[in-house]
Amino acid sequence: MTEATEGRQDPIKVMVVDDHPMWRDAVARDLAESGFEVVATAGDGDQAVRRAKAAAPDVLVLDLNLPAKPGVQVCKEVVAANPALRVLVLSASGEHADVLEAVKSGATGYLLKSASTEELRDAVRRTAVGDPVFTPGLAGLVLGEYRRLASEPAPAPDTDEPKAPRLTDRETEVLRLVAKGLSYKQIAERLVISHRTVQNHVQNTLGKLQLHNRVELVRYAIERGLDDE
Amino acid sequence: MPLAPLAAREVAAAVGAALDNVRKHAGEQASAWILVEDEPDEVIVTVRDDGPGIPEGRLAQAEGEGRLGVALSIRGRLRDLGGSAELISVPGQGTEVELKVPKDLTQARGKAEQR
Repeated sequence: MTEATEGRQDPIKVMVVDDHPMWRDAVARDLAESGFEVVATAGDGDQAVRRAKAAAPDVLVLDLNLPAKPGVQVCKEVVAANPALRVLVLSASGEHADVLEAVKSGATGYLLKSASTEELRDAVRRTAVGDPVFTPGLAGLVLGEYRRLASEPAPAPDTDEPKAPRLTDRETEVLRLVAKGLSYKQIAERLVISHRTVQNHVQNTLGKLQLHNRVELVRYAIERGLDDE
Repeated sequence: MPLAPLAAREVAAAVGAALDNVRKHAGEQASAWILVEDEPDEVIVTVRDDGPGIPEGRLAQAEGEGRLGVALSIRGRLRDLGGSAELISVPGQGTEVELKVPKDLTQARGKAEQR
């Protein structure tokens, strides 16, 4: 039994979505060699949504820059169809707005394409068990998003507009340390808390953003009368 | 709100100096991270490396020998902007230089003059 499948009955099922065939095949091969079961691959957004429904992977490794349908939209549709599916975004740098949008719509991990095979393996493994994969870059983006939300005017008290989510002081502290490149272990040492507590804080920062996003979407749908359809 | 051009140039120079420091002292294998935070009334820029860090007492010693050129130039630049530069080094966790610059420069200059 390889490391990837340790403690599990079946290998983790992965699907790889990228429009560059050589890259896609290389990632799929690396993951297969590491003990993951690659159940499907796709080269465009439409294909990705269809095949994800048919192949039912545990983890979708998703590029954001796709033909036919943007990766962010793919993320929204596959997570809506199967909330148990975990999405790990693997993207080029400089796609900040898209990465944030994907994370708000349910992706729980983000890795740059410059990551090593070892980092990718580790990220897929962690994504599969529900741990968010936070790179320093993603932590910076999430911090920025909370600041943006905090600077927006508060909704009037007589509307049902949801209040913007806030980070606790501790969550801000942890997220800043992640953004500065410290590992969870180093953060736990510095703040004298457990590794698990660090993980929970990081997870909460993501959870609150995703919840806010869902509430906003529902409100938007009701406002436009889309809930009757 | 962005920083005034003068302040932005000075901060960029301070970040450059901090990165030079990383290159010189953190070792071949070290990585560096830069975090920019846009707070309501200040901008915080942190440069961190995962090198060996600075042993306790070493900074004071270097200061005593007048060998704190880079740290002083970083601090000096930030002080002129009404901001601050803080050096944090935890053994085994690398070194962090945290630069804080107020957005309202006129106020900053006023404060500096009052000192």
